Amino acid sequence: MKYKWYVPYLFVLLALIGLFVFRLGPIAMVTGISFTDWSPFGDPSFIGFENYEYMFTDPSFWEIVLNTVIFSAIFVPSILVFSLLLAVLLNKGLKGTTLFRVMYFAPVITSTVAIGIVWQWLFSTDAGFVNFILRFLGMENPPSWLSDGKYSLGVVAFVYSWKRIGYYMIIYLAGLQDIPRVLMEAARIDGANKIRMFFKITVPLITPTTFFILIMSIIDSFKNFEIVYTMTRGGPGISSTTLSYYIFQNAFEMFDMGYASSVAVFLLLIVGIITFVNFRMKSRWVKYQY
Amino acid sequence: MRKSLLSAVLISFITFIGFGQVTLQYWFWDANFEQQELEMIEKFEKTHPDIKVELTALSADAYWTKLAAMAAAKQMPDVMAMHPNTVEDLADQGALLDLSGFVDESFKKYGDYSYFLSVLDSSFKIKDKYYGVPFAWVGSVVYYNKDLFDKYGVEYPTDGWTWDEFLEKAKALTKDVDGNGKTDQWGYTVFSRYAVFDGWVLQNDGDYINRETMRWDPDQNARDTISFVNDLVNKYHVAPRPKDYDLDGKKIKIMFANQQTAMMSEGSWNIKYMREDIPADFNWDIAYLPRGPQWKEDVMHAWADGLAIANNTKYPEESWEFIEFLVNERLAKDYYAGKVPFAKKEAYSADWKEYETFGKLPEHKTLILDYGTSAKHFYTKYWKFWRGYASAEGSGLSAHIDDMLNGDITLEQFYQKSDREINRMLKKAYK
Repeated sequence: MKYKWYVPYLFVLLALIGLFVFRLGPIAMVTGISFTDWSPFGDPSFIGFENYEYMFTDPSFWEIVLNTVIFSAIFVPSILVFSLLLAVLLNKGLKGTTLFRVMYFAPVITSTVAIGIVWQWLFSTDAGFVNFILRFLGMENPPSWLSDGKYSLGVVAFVYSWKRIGYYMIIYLAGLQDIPRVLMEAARIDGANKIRMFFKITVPLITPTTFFILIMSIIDSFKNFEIVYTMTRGGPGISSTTLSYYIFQNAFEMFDMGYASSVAVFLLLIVGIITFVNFRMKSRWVKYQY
Repeated sequence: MRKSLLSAVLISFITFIGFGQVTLQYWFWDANFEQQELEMIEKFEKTHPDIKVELTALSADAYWTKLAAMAAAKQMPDVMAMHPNTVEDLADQGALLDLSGFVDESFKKYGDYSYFLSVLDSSFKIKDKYYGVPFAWVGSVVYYNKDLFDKYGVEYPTDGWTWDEFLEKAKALTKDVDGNGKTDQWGYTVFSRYAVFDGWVLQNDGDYINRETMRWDPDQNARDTISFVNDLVNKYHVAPRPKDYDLDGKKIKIMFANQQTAMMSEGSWNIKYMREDIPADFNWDIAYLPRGPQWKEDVMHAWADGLAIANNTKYPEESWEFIEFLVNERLAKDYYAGKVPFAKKEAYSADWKEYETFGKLPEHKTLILDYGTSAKHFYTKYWKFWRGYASAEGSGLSAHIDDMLNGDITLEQFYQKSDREINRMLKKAYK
């Protein structure tokens, strides 16, 4: 049976429309807006690279970039290690596994605003549970977790990791259940202990899942917004301001869409470069065959 | 035949009525007051049958974001709530209608003595044109716990009290109540928030901004004020370091309600919080911020809740009629406690004098009215960013003030950092 030449295109038409309307179109528009001075309340005027010049010469901007990198450096390893650990424990088929799966997944479906507020209370300097414990243990002046720029970013990254671990745990669980039992049995017969089996069989065989989680968690960490908004509003100062939050502030508080767009383009490039490098490095450590 | 003719006439009449009716879009920033706004609209529509008003009441957090999105789609509401911290940015972009003609007409009709004009001028007059009109205004005051003053035999604040008197009282009220060697009751609590801090500068005749260059360049009076407030925390230890209590707009009120502080400064709208949300279960009152050594006149750090009209509205006349109605016809009892009606007839009404009329604290609520003739503030373009407000809460100047009060930076470092950061923004705002 012969098809008209356009029939295959019809099958992907909806996806293509979605791609152009919701992805490539906005990216092109944001790139265009980044070369303008535009508030939504007025008309845009072309200003060349002025926004980029302002951005690259602004010390605050670089501090925010560093915050974003630190946030990511806390979030991504935490996700990789703890979500795998939890997935392995919950893959044992022990009693109560379902209950624990639900418990660990609960923060994922809980509103970020609610989570932010509860953790804000827990980390309160004078009346929080965390400092209550520290005082009980003898610390006279426990830290001001959210009011001291030395700690605020770390606390926010910790809370966001706690929220997201359950989601990545589920993905790891799926990966773990894909590992053929026969390999484990063969290793056991050959006398391998559990730790050796974990590092020599489990870890290599779930590298495709790890790769997926690595990419997604990096993007997740660069995109985070709500947790910063709820817990610290980027403060104190800009100590916990991340790039996504900075984009929001410029676009919707200052109505400086041009500058916000230039920061968004920068963020897109950074995430794009990291993802590209990861894909290039993939062949060195990701194993798709048993 | 007769039936058809009657139907045709009826349809024509209804169509005529329909076409004759104007529908205004009205956006308001407090979803909690939706019912009150709807009641006002109902009253307005009864007296103006040719105008229909559709209300969109949003939370304050979502308001500006959605307004910006609608502006991008060229669909601004005809009438919208407006704040002096944003009006200059929007007026500069040509988004708002110049209301000067309407304001002049209104003054002729009602008399300019009917309103708090300094609030109007300081809040919405941009380059000699009005881009908004207040319907209510508020100002910074000192809240004090009368029970604690009584307990320690400290006299209440009086009109015209000075920094020295303030310090003396704050010292007398700073106590280690449980005797563990640490202060647990503070004379005063302060942090960087504009409503808490900036009134001090105005009461010493100071200014953060050089009005000719529109750059951050605090004059000597402002510098003396900043040093004094810093000393309250770091020299006299009558106020805690902000980071020791995670001070923010809510926490300072909780401290006051918990009697952890005998005095605090905040906006007068917090009277509502003190009564309802975080009830202060003791006898309390408000006073004016104390006068600094360079004081010239009592100046209140005041700001307004206003209304503006979109520049591209098809119905400027009808929009103004609606605004005029909201400003003049809203009754004192329908205002958020602590907010002063812009129309003096309501501000000076028995309903607004709640202590005398209903016995509601604070006793000296009406002192705010005396300062409706001397409203000032430091709003500029980009104010939210450089001062640290809304989503930028705690950044910009606020961050440096808190760092200074926390003892993390010196005064010299405070000025260096503020100058570098704030002027970078102001240079962008005022090219």
